[in-house]
Amino acid sequence: MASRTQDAEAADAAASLGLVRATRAHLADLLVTPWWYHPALGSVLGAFLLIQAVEPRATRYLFIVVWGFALEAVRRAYRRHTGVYRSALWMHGFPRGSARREAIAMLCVLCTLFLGAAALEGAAGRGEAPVIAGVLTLPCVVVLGRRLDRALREDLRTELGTDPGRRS
Amino acid sequence: MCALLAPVQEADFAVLREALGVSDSVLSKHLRVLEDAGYLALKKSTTGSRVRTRAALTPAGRRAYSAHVAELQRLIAGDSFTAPPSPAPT
Repeated sequence: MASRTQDAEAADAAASLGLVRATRAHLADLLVTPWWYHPALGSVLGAFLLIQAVEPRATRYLFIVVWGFALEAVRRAYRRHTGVYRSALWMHGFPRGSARREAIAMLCVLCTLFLGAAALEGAAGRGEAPVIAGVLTLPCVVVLGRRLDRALREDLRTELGTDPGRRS
Repeated sequence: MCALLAPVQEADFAVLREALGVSDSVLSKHLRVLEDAGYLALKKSTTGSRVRTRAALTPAGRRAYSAHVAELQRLIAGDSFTAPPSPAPT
């Protein structure tokens, strides 16, 4: 009797998990990034570094404000296109899987470009460093962003997104 | 619904409705239940004359969902319960 109850519960649980997997697979289809998103995002992020070369400082700050609006416009356009939103830097959404590694790699590369440019300009007086880093940001975001997207969709299709050994 | 919201930061009402295949009223009712339980946050914004509603799981909602999925996996594996199952968000 107890065994039959356990079997019934296991069957119900398997059906529920099947629904979870089907839902995640559907989400993987929804999260196909539009072709323009990574080039747009890379251009906007790279522009932040290029702006650092603008003088005088008051004009640079004005450009930074405009830059903020541009970044928000890219984010909103993505959300209008897909109906969902997740930031590449939202680590909470990557409990396990290759997407987490790709997100961390992208974050490390961008931090290296940004901080490296700042360090080279400040400490070594290499004024061209932010410009070079700004130009490199676009291809980095395009390549790494698309790798992250593929990894995320793969994780959505193959993982459940939780640690089965974790207790609440 | 939680399986759809867990991997993202937020999702539009229309996306949830189409993915779940339910009517506006059914979806609104379920969203309200989850919101009242503290598992969901609803945000409304106006674009022109249209009101857009977005849903996002709260940290409590994410924990409850993760615990629920973990319990389902343990049931399948045949492990005995170590804690009462969480309220089952779907």
